[in-house]
Amino acid sequence: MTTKYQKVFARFKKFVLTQPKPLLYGVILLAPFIVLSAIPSVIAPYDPLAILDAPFLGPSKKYILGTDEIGRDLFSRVVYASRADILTSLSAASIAFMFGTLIGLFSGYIGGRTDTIVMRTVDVFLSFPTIILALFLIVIFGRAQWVQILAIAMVMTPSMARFSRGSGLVLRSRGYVEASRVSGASTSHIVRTHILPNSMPTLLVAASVLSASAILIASSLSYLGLGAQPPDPSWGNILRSAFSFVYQAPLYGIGAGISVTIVAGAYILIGEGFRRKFADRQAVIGNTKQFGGV
Amino acid sequence: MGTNKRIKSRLLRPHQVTITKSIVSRFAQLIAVMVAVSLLTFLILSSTPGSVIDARIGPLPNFSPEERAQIVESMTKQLGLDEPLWRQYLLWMRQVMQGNFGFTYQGLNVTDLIVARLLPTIELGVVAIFFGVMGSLMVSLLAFRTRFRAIRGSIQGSMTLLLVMPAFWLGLVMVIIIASKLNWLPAAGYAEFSEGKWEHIRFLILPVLTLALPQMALFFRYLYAGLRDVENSAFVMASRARGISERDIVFRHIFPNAVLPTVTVIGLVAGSIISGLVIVETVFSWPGLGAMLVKSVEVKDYNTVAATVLLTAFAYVSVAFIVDIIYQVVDPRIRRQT
Repeated sequence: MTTKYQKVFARFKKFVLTQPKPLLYGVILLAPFIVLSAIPSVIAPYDPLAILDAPFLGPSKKYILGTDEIGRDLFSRVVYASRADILTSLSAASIAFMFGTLIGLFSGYIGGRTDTIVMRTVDVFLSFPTIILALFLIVIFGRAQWVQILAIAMVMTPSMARFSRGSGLVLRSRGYVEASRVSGASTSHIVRTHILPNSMPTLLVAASVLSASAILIASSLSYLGLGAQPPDPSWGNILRSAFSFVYQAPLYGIGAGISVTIVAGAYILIGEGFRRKFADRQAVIGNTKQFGGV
Repeated sequence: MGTNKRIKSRLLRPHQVTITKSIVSRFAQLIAVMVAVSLLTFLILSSTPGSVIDARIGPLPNFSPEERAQIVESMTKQLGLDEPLWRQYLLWMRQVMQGNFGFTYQGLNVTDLIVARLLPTIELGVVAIFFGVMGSLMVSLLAFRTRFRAIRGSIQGSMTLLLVMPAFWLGLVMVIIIASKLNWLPAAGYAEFSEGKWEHIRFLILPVLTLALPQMALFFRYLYAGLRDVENSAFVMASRARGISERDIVFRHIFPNAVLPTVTVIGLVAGSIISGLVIVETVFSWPGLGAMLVKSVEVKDYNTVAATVLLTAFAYVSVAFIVDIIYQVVDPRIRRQT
C-alpha cells in the first residue's frame, strides 16, 4: 500500500537522484546560506551589534566562532553579513543577466551594423578592469547599497552580453528561426519564442558563473570599505578587521572567509551541473574571471 | 642556395603583407578604443551629482555667501565648467595628453603621485604573472603526465578552489600560516630596494603568491584542456604509431601546440590581474597604484581616481594589443585566418 504522499516522495527522490552530482552538491552547499540570509534573526544566537563579552575570545560553546575586537559574537555577525552580501550579489547578477542577455541576444540575432556598434560599445566597457570601474562608479555616485548593486551589475553586463551574443548568432540561421522570419514574425517575437528558450541551457551555465563572480566582486568591494558600513557586518569588512588583528586572533576571519568561498564554489558547482545536464561544451566552467571576478 | 633564397622570399612576402596590415588595423582599433575609453571616463567623471566646486571648497560655513559666489565664479572659469561639455572634454583630453591630470584635494600634482606609485605596482604585477605562468606550466604538465588519478584529481580540485577563493581571503590564509604561525615572513609592508635585496624580496613573496596563485589556476584550466585536446589529435596518434618516445611526443609535439592558445588568455586576464592588484596591494599595504586608488576613493578624490581608471584601462588594452600581435607573429595559422 503506497499512499499518495509516498508516491510523490518517490518521484521527487528519483528526480533529485537523476540530477548531475555537481548540481546536487552545489544546491546542498548553497541552500544553508540562502536560509541564513532569509532568516538571520532566527539562526543567530545574539544581536550582531551587541557587545557581549571580552574581546578576542577563541571559539567556544558559547561563542561558536569567538568574539571580535570589541566583544561582539562573530558567528552572529557572519550570519547577518550573509544578508548584505548575498542580497547585493544576487540582485547585481540578476540585473546583469537580464540586460546582458537582452542586449546580446538581440545584437547577435539582428547582426549587421547594429551588432558591430553594440559589440564595439561592449568592448569599450570591457576595457576597464571590473573592480576599478566599480570603484569609479561608487566614488562618483555614492555608497548607497543600490549604487553598489548597479555598479556591480554594470561591470558584469558587457561580458554577459558578449557571451549571449554568441548563442544569438548561432541560432539565427537555424531552420525554425528562418521559417518564423519568412512567415512574417517580428524580431522581438522571434527572440522571445525561439532564440531565448533555445539558448537557455547555455545561459543558465553562464548565470551560475556570473553569480559566483558577483559574490566575489561584492565581497571585494566591502573588503575595500565600500560595502556595508561599520558597525553593520559584511563578509568583506569582517575579513578586513580580521587582517588587522591577525596576531591577536588568527581565527577571527575563518567564518567569513569560508562562507564566501563556499557560496562562490557552490555557484560554480551548480554551473558545472547545468553544463553536464545540458551537455553544453561551449562554456568554460569555473572561470569566474570570465565575468570579472577577483 | 640562391634559388632557395629567392623562393623563400617569394613565399614570405604575402605573409608579411598580411601581418603588417593586421597590425595596422589592430592599432587603429586600439586608438579608437582608447578614445572611447577616455570619453566614457570623462562622462562618468562629469556626471558627479552636485557641484564639483562645492566638493572642492568644502561645506558652507567656511565662507560668507558673497565670498562663496565669487569663489564659485572664479573656479568655474578656472576649471572650464562654463564651457559646453564637448569643449570640456577636449580641454581635459589635451591636459591628459600632456600628462597633466590636475590636482588632488591637498593640492598635490596627481601625475607626480602616480609616477611615484607606478614602479611597485608594475614590479608586483610582472613578477606575479611570471610565477603564475611558470607554476601553471609545471602543474598542468604534472597533472597531464601523472599515472595516478589521485594526484590529478587533487590538482584539479585545488585549482578550482583557488579560482573561487577571493584574493583577500587567500591572502589572509597565507598570512595566518606563513606570517603569524610560522613567523617566516612579514605580514604586510614594503621595503625599498635600497634597504637590501633580501629585505625587499621578503616583503614581496606573500603579495606575489596571493596574486599569482589564482592566475596560475586560471592558466592551468586552459593549458590542461589544451593538452588533453591536442593529445586526441591525429598527428599525436601518428607520432605514437611511428614509435616516437612518449617524452618527445609530450614535450616536442603536444606541449608547444597546447601552450600557444594559452598566450591569448594572458591578454584576456590582464584585467583581472589589475583588479587583483587593487585588492592585494590593499591587503598587504603595498605602496602601489591600487592601494592609492582605494585611498582616493575613500576621500572622494575624483581627479586621482579618474586618472588611475584611465591609466589602468589604457594599460589593459595595450597589453591585450601586444599579446595579440605576439600571438600573430608566433603562430602563422592565426595570420592566415584573418
